[in-house]
Amino acid sequence: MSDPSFAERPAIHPAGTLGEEIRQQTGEDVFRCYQCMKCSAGCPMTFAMDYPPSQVIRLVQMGQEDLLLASKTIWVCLTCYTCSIRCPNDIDIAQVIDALRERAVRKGFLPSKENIALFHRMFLENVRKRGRTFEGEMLARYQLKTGKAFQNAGLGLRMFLKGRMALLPESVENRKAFAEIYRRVEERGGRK
Amino acid sequence: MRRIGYYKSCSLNASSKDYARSLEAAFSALHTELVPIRDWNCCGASSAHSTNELLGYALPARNLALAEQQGLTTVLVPCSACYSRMLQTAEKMRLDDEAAREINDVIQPLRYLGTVQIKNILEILRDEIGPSEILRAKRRDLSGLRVVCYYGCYLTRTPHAASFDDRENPRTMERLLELLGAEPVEWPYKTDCCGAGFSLSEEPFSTQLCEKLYDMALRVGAEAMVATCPLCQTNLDLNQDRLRREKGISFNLPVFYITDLLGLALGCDLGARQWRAHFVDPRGLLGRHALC
Repeated sequence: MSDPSFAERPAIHPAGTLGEEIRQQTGEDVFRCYQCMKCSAGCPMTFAMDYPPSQVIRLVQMGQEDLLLASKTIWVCLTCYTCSIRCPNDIDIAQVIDALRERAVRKGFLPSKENIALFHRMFLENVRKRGRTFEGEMLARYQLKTGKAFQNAGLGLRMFLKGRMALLPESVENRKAFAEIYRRVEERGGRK
Repeated sequence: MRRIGYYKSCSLNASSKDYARSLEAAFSALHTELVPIRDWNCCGASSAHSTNELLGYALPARNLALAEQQGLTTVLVPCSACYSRMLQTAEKMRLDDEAAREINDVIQPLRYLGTVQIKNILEILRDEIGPSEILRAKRRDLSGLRVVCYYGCYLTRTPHAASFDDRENPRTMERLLELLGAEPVEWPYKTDCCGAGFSLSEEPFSTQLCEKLYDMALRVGAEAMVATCPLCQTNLDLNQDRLRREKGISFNLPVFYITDLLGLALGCDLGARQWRAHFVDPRGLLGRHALC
């Protein structure tokens, strides 16, 4: 006769939608957001974003995947977690953005901020090779690829002169076994 | 002698070698042996979790498994980015059995069971060493040194794990420096992001975030900044050099690692090499306070 209580109502999580897929992947429920905008108020990077964090969450609710995966926001987010710890509904917003960025990479979306995407890729390639980063090599390769070699030529040298650059790379004992970790992650296509 | 596990990490082996120097000297003065994780690997930092969640858990999990195998129950992780990744991975594996199985599957034949405690430098100094022992080992007072404490993002903002101090207004570093005789000044930006993640890929973003911090530090009357994270220190130090070269703006705020100052108070003599490694040379400031 009467309506079921609020708590007993089935949650509105249309299966197969972006919000539900994000929930399954990360455990974060974007449908709890009531647009208080605390996340956007505290975010240090909104000046460079096309959608502030609160709008990202709204767009996820509305299933606007193409807009999100092509956005600047997902690359400009620094994962500083200011939004995540302030959310009154306990949504780890930074992790939702991580998940969107990962989707963008997997689906081959052209990153709106190429240098940032390139940096992440080169960093991980560098780690794959020896299990540890070799900053000097990474810096040189990255600068060559981005054409920043000239603009930033002095940086590596200045770090070196300060004694803040390793000359020889370090490596884990068994590089082959280490690379298996990367291979198994690829085999799984990331986390479900 | 006390023994504590030590995840030295990529930064402390290269761009922040100077952090490793002052940190290791300070712990030796505190009669604590730091035991490195054997065969450790890079934690993947921001790049792994930013683009591949499973890899972002697997890389730290390998280190956790190695530490466990070695019988280390408490591990010091000085870099805040590594600390965040190790802590979040440990919490993920503790709370989510399915994820733990998948992560262990990826790092096999290694396997992490969940017995390692991950701690940052301030936690170790507060909880494992303790104020009375630090006072006993103190050889020199840092009196008159006015500094702002910079915690950055990852020490206290650990979304799925409890924080070791207040998330928005931590005071562990201030208390430690007060103990050493310094004068930490309160300021509103102690946990605001410095943009270290963009130090190489989008420099203008990181200098913009840093400028705001320098400006406030000077406004509250600080003579220097103190950081615990190698990436924050490098970024805060390097961006002053960039701003000076590119825009002719000089803030002249030395950026210390917490163990630089702890070491000074404990009487560790690291010589001129330690201060030359800084982009903003702190020797003038230390000289004014008769500290070098």
